[in-house]
Amino acid sequence: MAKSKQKGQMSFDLLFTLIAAIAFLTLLSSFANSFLTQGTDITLNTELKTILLETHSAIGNAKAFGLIHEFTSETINSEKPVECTIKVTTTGISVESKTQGKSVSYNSLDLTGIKIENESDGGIFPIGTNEFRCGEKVTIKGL
Amino acid sequence: MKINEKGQYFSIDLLIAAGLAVLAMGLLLQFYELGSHQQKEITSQSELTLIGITASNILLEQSPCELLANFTNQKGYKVMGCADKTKFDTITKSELMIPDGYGCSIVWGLPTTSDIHGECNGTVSDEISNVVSIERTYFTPQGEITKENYENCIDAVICTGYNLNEKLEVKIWKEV
Repeated sequence: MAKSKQKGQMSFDLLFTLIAAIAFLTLLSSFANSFLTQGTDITLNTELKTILLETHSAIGNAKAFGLIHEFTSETINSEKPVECTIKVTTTGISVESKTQGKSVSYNSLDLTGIKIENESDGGIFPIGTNEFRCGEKVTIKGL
Repeated sequence: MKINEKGQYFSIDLLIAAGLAVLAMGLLLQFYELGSHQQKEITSQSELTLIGITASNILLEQSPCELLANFTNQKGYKVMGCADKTKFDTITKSELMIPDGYGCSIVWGLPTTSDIHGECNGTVSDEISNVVSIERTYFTPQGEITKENYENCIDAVICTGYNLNEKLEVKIWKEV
């Protein structure tokens, strides 16, 4: 009798342990998912911002010193391929990841006189399409 | 581990282990959060620095000294560090490539005088902790400059009619 009671208690312990473990793991999983999503968003945003900043800096230097600058931006580091485009207009620069629906931009810039060319069509900005892909080699010409 | 003898469902070992596991998870999440925050701070600092350097470069390079006719278009000869400060105020914030949402303060003529840029005359509020300040030294002639005078000034032989070692200060911050 005592033996069977002892066995029953051990099973009860085990059952409670399993329930607690499952509850803990479920909670952990939901938190982890939330953190992972947040982390991915922060990483993507940081990478888009870095590309925006280096494009701004390259155009700024070309403008200040009248440089002709062969420029290749970084690409987004990701396990999945992330499409990323850089758009330059006369009043601003934006970097967009269409697949992820995220974009960052600098507005109210005066980019008059800046010319951006790529190898394939010879003209991105101010003529032709004003977009180029992240990682694509372009030539930025200052004033 | 007998419920009827000690009145416990879980062993003390399990409770300690669970407590430690929760503590470890908490520390891990805190570390992750701190890492993200730190990364954001670093990005923000680099961003302000690059915007500030670009603005000061454009300001100095787009305001060159007026050179006399025999001193212009000399191939391979660039007059460095010489700026006509009367042109500073006519360059707009957008020409300096300072984007919307960023505050700026540009002061020049230091340390003797302090002229302030019309569009970049902001003051930093107490709420803003991250401000980048770029200081550049330049000299400015009173009128047109000749090659001989410029070289004399560089060599510090005779340098009259020039304001030497004037300072340009560009401060950039992100508006709240």
